[in-house]
Amino acid sequence: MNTIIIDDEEMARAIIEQFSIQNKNLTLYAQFSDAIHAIKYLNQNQVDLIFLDIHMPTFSGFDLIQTLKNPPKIILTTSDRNFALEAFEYDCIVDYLVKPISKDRFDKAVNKASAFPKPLNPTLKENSKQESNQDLYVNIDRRLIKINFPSIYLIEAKGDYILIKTNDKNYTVHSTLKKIEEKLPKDLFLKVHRSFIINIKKIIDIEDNSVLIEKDVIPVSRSNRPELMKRLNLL
Amino acid sequence: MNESPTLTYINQLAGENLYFKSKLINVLKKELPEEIKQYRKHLNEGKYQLAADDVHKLKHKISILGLELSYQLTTDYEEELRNNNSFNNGNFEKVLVTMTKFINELK
Repeated sequence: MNTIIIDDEEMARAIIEQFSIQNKNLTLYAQFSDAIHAIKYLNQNQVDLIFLDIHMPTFSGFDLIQTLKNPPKIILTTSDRNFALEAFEYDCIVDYLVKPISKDRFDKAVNKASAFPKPLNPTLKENSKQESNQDLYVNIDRRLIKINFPSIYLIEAKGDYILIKTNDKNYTVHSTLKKIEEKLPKDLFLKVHRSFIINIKKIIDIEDNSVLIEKDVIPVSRSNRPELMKRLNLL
Repeated sequence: MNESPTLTYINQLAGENLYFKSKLINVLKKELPEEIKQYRKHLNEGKYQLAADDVHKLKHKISILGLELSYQLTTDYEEELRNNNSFNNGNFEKVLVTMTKFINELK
């Protein structure tokens, strides 16, 4: 398999380069310290496999995958031992390797890539992608817990944590409102106050500068009120 | 934090390939100070998200040098920085000093 390495860290590139040279199934074509140069290369050259670092400044590994029309097989590399989740939303991802990578684990991932079918055309993936987009996974006590978006009615900022309220259960997660806001479907959720995001489908009533969601009365800031009113189906 | 850096991983990786071992050590000696400098610059400028990215990158070298306890501290510190807090700055700085001292002594 023809392969390239994309990693902003020279140490990581040196190790993967050495492993690639030692592996009979691989021919190393090129290596890049940033995703932008790699994209330019991939637009003009065909490769079978990419070793791709997830966490790179300005343009992450996932950003790169989303940019490619027909991504080749990809083995992700990461320094994050708790990583697992987002990788499986992409059919082109064969495996992921946690740094520092061992030779045995590297060879195992390459064998897996050899046996892996060619990635599906992106249009064929849409259905499964849409299904996975209905869910959010949150890290609680080192477990990834799935929460279905429509079941969330309120998210509240609590210092370094956020409180996610659903119909069945509440979850306290170490994150920020800004981070979760980026993951939420825009048609369902709206930030009505610097400390609150609400599910607009769960609104019971609105009065002046507050909104009733389930049993919670939530303040609506003056600056967010026009957007809230715009999103309602007013008679 | 009571642990010392080691070359166990690099030795395992290189085996008898002394050229590769020397290459890895040279990369370590070159890249680690650059990454530390970048991290300190971002922290001093109050650019916590960028400092968190720098800390994330340093995690690999912390693992390579076998600093298991420091790795956990670094993971927590990265998360702190992402939440615009640098409470563990002092402890992380000790890890950086230990690593720097170790690589400076490498031949």
